[in-house]
Amino acid sequence: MSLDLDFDDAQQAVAEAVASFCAERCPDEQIRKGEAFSRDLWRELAELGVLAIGTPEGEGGALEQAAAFESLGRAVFPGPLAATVFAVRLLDGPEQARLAAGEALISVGEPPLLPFAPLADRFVESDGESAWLARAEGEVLPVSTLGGEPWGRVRLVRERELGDARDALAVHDTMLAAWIAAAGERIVADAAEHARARKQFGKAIGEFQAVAHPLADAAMALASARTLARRAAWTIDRAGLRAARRPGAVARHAATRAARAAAHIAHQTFGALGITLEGPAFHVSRRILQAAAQPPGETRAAEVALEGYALEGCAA
Amino acid sequence: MEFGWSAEELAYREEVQRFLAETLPEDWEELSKGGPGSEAQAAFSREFCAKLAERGWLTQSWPAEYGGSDASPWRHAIFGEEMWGHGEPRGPQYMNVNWIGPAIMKYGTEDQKRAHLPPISEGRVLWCQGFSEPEAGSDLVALRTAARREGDVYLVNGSKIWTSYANHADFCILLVRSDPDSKRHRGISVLLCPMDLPGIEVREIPSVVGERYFHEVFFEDVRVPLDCRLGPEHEGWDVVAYALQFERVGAARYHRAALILDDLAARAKARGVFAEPRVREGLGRARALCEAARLLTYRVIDQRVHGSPPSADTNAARIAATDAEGAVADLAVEVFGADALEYGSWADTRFRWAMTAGVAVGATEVQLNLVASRLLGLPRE
Ligand SMILES: Cc1cc2nc3c(=O)[nH]c(=O)nc-3n(C[C@H](O)[C@H](O)[C@H](O)COP(=O)(O)OP(=O)(O)OC[C@H]3O[C@@H](n4cnc5c(N)ncnc54)[C@H](O)[C@@H]3O)c2cc1C
Repeated sequence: MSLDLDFDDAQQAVAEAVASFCAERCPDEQIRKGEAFSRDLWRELAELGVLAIGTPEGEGGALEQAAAFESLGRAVFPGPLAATVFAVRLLDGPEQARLAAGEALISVGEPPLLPFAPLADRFVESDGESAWLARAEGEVLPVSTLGGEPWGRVRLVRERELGDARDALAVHDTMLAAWIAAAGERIVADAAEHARARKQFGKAIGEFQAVAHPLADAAMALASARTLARRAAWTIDRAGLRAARRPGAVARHAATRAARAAAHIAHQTFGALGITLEGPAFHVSRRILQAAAQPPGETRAAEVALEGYALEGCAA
Repeated sequence: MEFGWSAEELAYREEVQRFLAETLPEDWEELSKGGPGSEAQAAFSREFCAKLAERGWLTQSWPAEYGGSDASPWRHAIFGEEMWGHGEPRGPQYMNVNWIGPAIMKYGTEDQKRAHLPPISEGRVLWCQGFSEPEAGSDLVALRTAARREGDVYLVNGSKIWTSYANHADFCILLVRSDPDSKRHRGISVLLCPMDLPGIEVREIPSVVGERYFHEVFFEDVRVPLDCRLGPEHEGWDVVAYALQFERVGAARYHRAALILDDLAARAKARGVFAEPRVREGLGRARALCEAARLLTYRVIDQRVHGSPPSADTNAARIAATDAEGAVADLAVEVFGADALEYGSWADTRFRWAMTAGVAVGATEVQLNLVASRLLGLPRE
């Protein structure tokens, strides 16, 4: 069989199911107000099976998961999404099952500043190479963030070593890439819509090439990042996690950079409107910026992308 | 040619720095978190500007006959750099000093000068700028807010948007269409409009750059006395063009960016990431951009000193400052990763302001158009 870069029917069905779940349960108005996340919403998402992929009970593979994450990204769905799929791959038994079912909430990163710490039931300390299951000692000091996510300062006590985290990071990076590339495509689509409608100097601002070309550039970079994420997911399904480390890192690196650039360009297109808190852009761009800097491993993605380069070269 | 500051200028900068160190409260960083529109900073600006006035610094660039001391544009630039570098403790009042006052000097009646210039030079009045409208952003001359003559007043109807600091302002420098049959640049007038007139409603638009910054201002049958008009009727565009010449340089964003970059380098060292190639490259690149922006700005000041008319170099300087600020903000996120995202943190605040840099006072794309047409002689799109 020759190459086929489209989702198959089953994967497409997952994407659509998740998209309609998002539209119904997590509509834009709620995202704009920054009030979208709740434990109930998280459990309902888990009921779709999105977080359980890779567990004994899970159905489908990484491509199904990537299809779901694209839909989640387009809806800028809140919550520790990539962190959860990361921890799900590191844990087993009841701990894994509770995470996959959305019953427990995980916080992953390097202390003291940790995402979703005030809400988390469990902590995984990880720099993207090693990982430990940990618990919070003392109080969690809430920290509000640019992205509107509830973060916190915590002291962690390591309870158990979880070993090499790099295979799990491949899934994390792949899904983060799928989410953030889709969020980027979303903000570019919104900006393009604005550029079609907004008139200045007697024409739609999209007629100015200074507006049109950067948006087109962003769309291309995002389309390629999304395709890289799909390839990484395919690699997980076909060749396993270890083989997907590098494709995952490549996808993450490309997607975070493309999405950040897209957010910037979208803001230029929206003008002052983009800077308003409840306007058409900030509720998406803030999440892109936050996801782009998400621990673990953000700063390592470029280096992992180079792993094995001397042996295989880029053409491999 | 001379790229170095004189001993006198260096001493002046040190004096301003010493003054700031003594005058800014210890919790200034915290106090200024809410941004220049915040209650705390607006209140502070009145107190602070009064102190500047006492020292003769607030309006030193003004001519002596209006209470200034004819300070050179270089001295004014040093002053502006130190102010913006320290988070602009003058709050909204930099606008008064930089261009609203000078516009009144040039076009104002004797009564207007008497009424408005002393409060500005004493640092006890806040102004806002009512230019942009929902349908008139980059294309400012599409403005529609109407001022119809009725007896001894203009009856003003319409709305302004993105008006910074409108909630605190005592006056608004307001652009209106006074000739209903006019189009584009003709038929516009400038009103020095008191903000407490009946029929004016100010609504905050929550924004990323802090509390009470952006506003929408609605005018419903507001009766603005005819003698509030600045300059000739229907020829307000010339008044604006004149005033904005003084705004050529704008806020010393490049200076703040450079200071932040120094801080960023120190923090990168403290975190042990200074040696990382990606950090070093980012710091080097941002530094080059900051220095370029500074020199392009100095070129504009130099032109003013030599009395040359404004040119596209102004636009180039602004674009360069926006690029520098953006590079520094991106780097902050790059170096600090997740920590940069803490609300109100040092990096977060930088990032939010950088978001606005390419839009405020003329979008970068529009500035580039001007560079292309004026500097390179390219045809317009
Ligand atoms: C921080 C901040 C403070 C402000 N304070 C004030 C204030 O106090 N008073 C006031 O009156 N206004 C204020 N403004 C408004 C500001 O002047 C406008 O935002 C600006 O003029 C752009 O208008 P717009 O936002 O409507 O964008 P639009 O005009 O809709 O433009 C959107 C985008 O379209 C593109 N574009 C537009 N025209 C062209 C063109 N000819 N060629 C190529 N590309 C083009 C640009 O990318 C631009 O960013 C403020 C804005 C900001 C961000």
